[in-house]
Amino acid sequence: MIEDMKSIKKVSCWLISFILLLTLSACKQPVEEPDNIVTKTSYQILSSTIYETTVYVFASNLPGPTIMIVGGIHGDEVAGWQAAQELITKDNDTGIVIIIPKANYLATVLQKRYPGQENKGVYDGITYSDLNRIFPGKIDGSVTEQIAYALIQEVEKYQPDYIVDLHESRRSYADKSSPLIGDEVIYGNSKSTFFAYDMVDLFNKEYLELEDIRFAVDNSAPVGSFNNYCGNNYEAIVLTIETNRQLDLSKRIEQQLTLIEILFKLAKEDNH
Amino acid sequence: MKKLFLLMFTLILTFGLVGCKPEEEDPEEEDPNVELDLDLSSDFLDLCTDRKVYLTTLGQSDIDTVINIIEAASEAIPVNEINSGSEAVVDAVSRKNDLVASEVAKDGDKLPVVLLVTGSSGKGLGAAGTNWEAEKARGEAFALAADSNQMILIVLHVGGEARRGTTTDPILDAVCPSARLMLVVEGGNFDKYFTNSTNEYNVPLHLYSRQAKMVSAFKTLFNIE
Repeated sequence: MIEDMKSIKKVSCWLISFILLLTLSACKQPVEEPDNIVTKTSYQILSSTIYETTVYVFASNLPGPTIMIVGGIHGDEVAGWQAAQELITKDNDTGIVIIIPKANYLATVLQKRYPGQENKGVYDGITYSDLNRIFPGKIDGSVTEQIAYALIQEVEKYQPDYIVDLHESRRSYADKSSPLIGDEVIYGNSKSTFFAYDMVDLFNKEYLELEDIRFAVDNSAPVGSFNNYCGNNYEAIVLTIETNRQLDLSKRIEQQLTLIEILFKLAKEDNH
Repeated sequence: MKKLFLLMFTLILTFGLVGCKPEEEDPEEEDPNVELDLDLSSDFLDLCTDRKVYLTTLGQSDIDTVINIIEAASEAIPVNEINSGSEAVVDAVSRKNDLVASEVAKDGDKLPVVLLVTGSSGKGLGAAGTNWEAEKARGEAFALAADSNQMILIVLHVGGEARRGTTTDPILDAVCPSARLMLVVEGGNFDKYFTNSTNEYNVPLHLYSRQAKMVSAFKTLFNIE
């Protein structure tokens, strides 16, 4: 009798261990990913001038796309450069992220499209013009051409996979009387087309409120703009985000940041 | 002892199964009318081969996107700009933003195909010096020509919900009933406009989840492997 009990105990122990093992192996644990360690550096371009500005670089130890984000090409399009400014506090992305929040530094300080905008481009004795019409600029050209040239040198240096230019428009594309390019994402070359639509579709479906104007995709970047120049001269996916300045600033910044977040998500999926 | 063994066995099995329970996904409401990304049927195979194919926009938007879709389907089908005086050629897509029905030429017995990119852009209309009423009139002329068996119309809508509304829908009303086929990115069907059109006019509708998915339709239309 005692022998029987012992053998039952033994068999049941084996059985329990076997079931436990089966159960545990069925509950497969996800493979642990290595930690994402991001090194943050920054440096100045156009040094020792009144339009000197900072470039922030976030380099992860993990592979990922190289993404360049530029804000403040137009200083009065505040949500764009403020969103870019907010992005420099983030450091959780893989790959390389380059952020130039205030590309046209003096214009962002003055919150004008360009310095001297209302004075034939003259500000403090220096003549400026619309930065977003003179890319790629010139090393020995006007002040504005030098800024454009310096920005293109950064593109040359990093050869990004994605280039994003943050802008705003005075009105929406949906404005019936006088439509502009607000509430749009503008792609810079044919390679960027499907990506732009995917980004906007996701944004419209998952992030906009019911009463919000749906974002549209467009492809009308003017000659001399950062978008147009980069779209025609680099292999990158090139996009411009244009929020609508008739909305509250906080909402516009949120829209810019959300679109960038979607861009990072889709870029990581890397299926375009 | 047997009871103890059974109890333990049941307990372990229960805990194991509970632990392995997959995360529940929210069941999405399914629309029985919407089937996305389906291949075109063999009825449409070759529809655009060996005949003149024209591309125009009714609403002055998204035509470049459609060119990118065609180019993604095959670089062997060039998209050429035609201007007044120049002719469309076979084995190419002839693009003209302000094409009118009378410019569409028959090629022997084969009916020409006109790809109509719908969706109005206020800025695009302004830049082209036109308006949605004039675009609608152009659309009506295409519809009339298709109804009298002079051409085949394929209606495209790729711009999603943003390219629908009061300046687009009247144009769609004019051309959809006369179309042979409608190719639409699902965002543009948010209010089931195209689903209703297909039911009402018996025009086949293909819905795509993304613009890139529409490439397969052009592979069928041009019979590209």
